[in-house]
Order: sequence, then structure tokens, then C-alpha cells
Amino acid sequence: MTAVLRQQMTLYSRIFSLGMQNSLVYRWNFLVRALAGLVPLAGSLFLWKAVFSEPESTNFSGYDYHLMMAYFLTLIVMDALTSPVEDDFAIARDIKDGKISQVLLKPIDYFTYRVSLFLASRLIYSAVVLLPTIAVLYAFRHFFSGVHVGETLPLALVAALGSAFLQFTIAYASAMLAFWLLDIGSVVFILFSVEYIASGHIFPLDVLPAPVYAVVRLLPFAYEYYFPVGIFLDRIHGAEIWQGFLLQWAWIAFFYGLGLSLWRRGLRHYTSVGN
Amino acid sequence: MLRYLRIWLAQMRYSLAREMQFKGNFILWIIVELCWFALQLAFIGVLYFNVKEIAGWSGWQMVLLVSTSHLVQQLFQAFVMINCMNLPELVQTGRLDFFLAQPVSTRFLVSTRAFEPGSIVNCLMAVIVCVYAACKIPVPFSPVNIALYVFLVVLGVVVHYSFMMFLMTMSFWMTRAQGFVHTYYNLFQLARLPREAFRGVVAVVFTWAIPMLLVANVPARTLIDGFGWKEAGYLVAITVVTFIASGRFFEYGLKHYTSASS
Repeated sequence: MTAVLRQQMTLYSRIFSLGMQNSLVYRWNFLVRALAGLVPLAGSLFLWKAVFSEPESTNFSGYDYHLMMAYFLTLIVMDALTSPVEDDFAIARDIKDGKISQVLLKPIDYFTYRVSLFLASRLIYSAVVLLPTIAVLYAFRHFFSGVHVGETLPLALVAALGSAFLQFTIAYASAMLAFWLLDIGSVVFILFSVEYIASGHIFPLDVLPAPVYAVVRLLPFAYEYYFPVGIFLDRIHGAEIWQGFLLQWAWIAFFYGLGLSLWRRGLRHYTSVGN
Repeated sequence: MLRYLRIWLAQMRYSLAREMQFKGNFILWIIVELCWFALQLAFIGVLYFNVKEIAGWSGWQMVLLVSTSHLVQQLFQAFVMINCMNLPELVQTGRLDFFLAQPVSTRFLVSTRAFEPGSIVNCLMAVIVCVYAACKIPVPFSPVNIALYVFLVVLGVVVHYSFMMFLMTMSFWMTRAQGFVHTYYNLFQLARLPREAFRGVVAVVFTWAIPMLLVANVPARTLIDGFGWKEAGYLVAITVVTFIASGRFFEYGLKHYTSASS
């Protein structure tokens, strides 16, 4: 049993290492992507500054200008650490081009294989964008003056880990549609548009009217960005944190199960020629 | 000129016929763009739920700005965007040879090969929201005002085309120039924000060097307040300059094209 486990560990650590080497090829691409990501951030900073300069909005649903900026700055760190970059399209390509045949013929579990590549890619991406991210955070450190980092950071990191797995399982499950669809792009982008607004990517979810917020926090998307950032900024506390973790992992289990079930069904349809 | 127009129309007819073979996909992509447009409008809803004005723009003025930006983007998407995005692949696979062998401008063929009719449907949606917002403001409609608005929107499309072409021309030297598409999308996000909100170096760069803060702001402001010579004049000038510069850059890139396995 231990020998099998060790063998599996060696196998996936090799895949992880290969994934890192592959990601390193695109290090400049990662850097350009991260720097380009600062443009919309600058847009958000200026827009919210304009919002808070209006006399009636010194308090925007409990947020002041500093807290709102801290929210968006934490969001870019979350983005770098947890967001899958085109993993869904890469999985769909594997299925469409028949590359999964190579995995099927070997004692490799495709889900674990893709998780290893995802983690490797995140590690390299985070390493490449570390310096610019630190520079940005340092330049805007005054926005975090009211945040008790020591108290909120540990749980926020656990929530960020859950967020990475949730985002990956959602991407994996949606990529499974490639077994039936020629192009998954449209479905992915529809999902992405809902995800973009319901995950707290363009505004913190608790600025929504209370009944809307109550519904949105039951959806999986709230646990991708809003939940970890909310914990870090102490917008989510007490029992809400544990309820949140419960929901986050329930959604991870749901999408993992969905992905697995679609994979099994898809393989029944799958035919591969000349691979 | 007429010959080029005929070629463009023929390519559009071909694209339309090809698109209609995948009707489901055609409808799904229209839904994708509608979702993104709805998302932007929802964001305005959330903002103006708490404030009455942002950087001098009222709620309906902001809706006009966002829908104008959406209109520019959809027009760009309908006629040229996909072609710009395909350039790296043409260079990598060597299929650009086919375009070089044709007796017309390579830049023209590369830029107009495909047409996305779905984006025209989304343009109509943007126009409907624009008109509704303009009535709510209310805007003094006149033939001159509307003609100027349309003219400035077209300039906005040309500016987007020139910048996208500039980025994609990098594929003559880089193997993964597709990554720049992401850069372009990030730049485009600024276009729907009120330019009065920006200050300092960022305002200068994105107004005068990379005029993302003009492409939707100037047409929307023209419709609301009438023609402003300074911004509109600059938009005309920068459109001409970027169009010519991106063309020259493309020609320069072509000199470095070595084809591949063909």
C-alpha cells in the first residue's frame, strides 16, 4: 500500500515538475499578462476614487475608499494565486484532439494529472508576478492600515486554497462538455460572465441589497473571490466563516463529482483515430 | 477602391454562409456578448444605487457611455477583430503565404477575411440601449448631432483596429503573440469609464498616447453636450496617425516573415 502510494507520489511530482518546466517557457507571457492586469486595476482605483469623492458616498454600503481599494488590491493577489489560466480550454483541446488517449493508456488519473499541471502553473505564475505584485502592494500599503493581517491572514489563506480548488473543479467540469460540443468557448464565456459579477470580481458582494446578497452567497461563485478576500478584510467573521467553509467545500465536492461523472459518460462516447 | 469594397462584400457573404452552418454556436455567442453587456449595466446599477453622479456623469449618461463603448467594441468585433486575432496563427503555420500571393493589399485581406454577423445583432442591442439612455438624459437629437456621433464611433473602431493590429504584428517576431489579446482586452476595459475620473500620468497616457479614454467618451459627450473641437479634433488626428503607423509596422513585420513548412 505504502509502495503504491509512494509510486503515485513520484508519478504526480514528475508531472508537476514537467508542468513547471512547461509554464516557465511562457514566463514572459505571464509577466505581460500580470502587468496588463494592472490597467483595469488602475481603472477601478480611479473609478472608485470618483465614487467616493461624491459628497453622499463617504460610506458605500459600509466601505470607505481605503477599504474598497484594499479589496481590489487583495483581489489581484487572489487572481495570481488561484485562477486557472485557460486550463478549461487546454482540457477541451486534449479531448478534441484525442490527446487524452495517451493518458488513458497509462496508469494515470486524468483529474490528478490536470491538478498537478494547474498547481505547477500557479506556482510559476505566482513566482513570476511576485515582484510586480509586491511593488504594487507596497506602493498602496496605506490602504491596508485598518486590516489586522496577523488575525485574518491564516483563515484567508485556507479560503484561498479552497478557492483555487473550486475554480479548478468548475473549469474541469465545464471543459468536459468538449466530449459533446465542438467549441466550448461560448459556454465557458457565459459561465465566466456570471462568475465575474457573482464572485465579487467587479464589486464586493456585500454592497448588494440584502435579499440579493443572501441569494448570491449561496452560489459557488461567491467562494471564488469574495469569500477569501472578505475574510482577509474582516468583512466576514464569526459563524459566517464556518458556514462559508462548509459551502465552499460542498461546492468543490459537487463540481468534482460532476466533472468525474461527465468524464465517465464522455469516455463512453469518445473515439480516437490515429493518436 | 470599388474593387476592394466588392472583395470585402464577397468575404462577408462567405462568412455569413459559413456562420449559418453552425446556428447553435451563432446564437450562443450572441448570448455571451449579451451577458457581458448586461453585466456592465448591472455594475452601473450597483454604483448608482448608492450615488447620484460619478465624475460629472449621471446614471443615464453613464449608461450611454457604456453602451457606446459596447457599440464600438461590437462593430470592431463584427468586421475586423477575429482577423487580427488570427494573424499569429497565419504566421506560425505559414498560411500567410496564400495572402501574399493574392493581387491585393495583404493587410486588407488579412484584416477583412472573416466577418462575425452575431456582433451585428449585439450592435443593435447597444444602439437600442444608447437611444433609450439618450431619451432619458434627455439628449437634443439633431441630424448633425447623430451624424457626428456615428462618425466618432467609426473613428473609435479604427483606433481599436490600429492598436490590435499593432499588437498582433508582434507575431512576426514572437511565437505566442496571442497573449497580447489579453492585454488588448484589459486596455479596452478603460474605454467604458468616464475620462474625468482619471488623474495624473494615467490620464495623460490613456487620453493622448493610447486614447482608450477618448474612443467612447468623445462620441458620448458629443451626443450629450455637442461637438467639442479639442477632443474630437485630437481623435481624428490620432486615428489617422495610428492607422498609418500600424500599417507601416505591419509592412515592416512582413519583411521578417520567413514562412513555415510550406
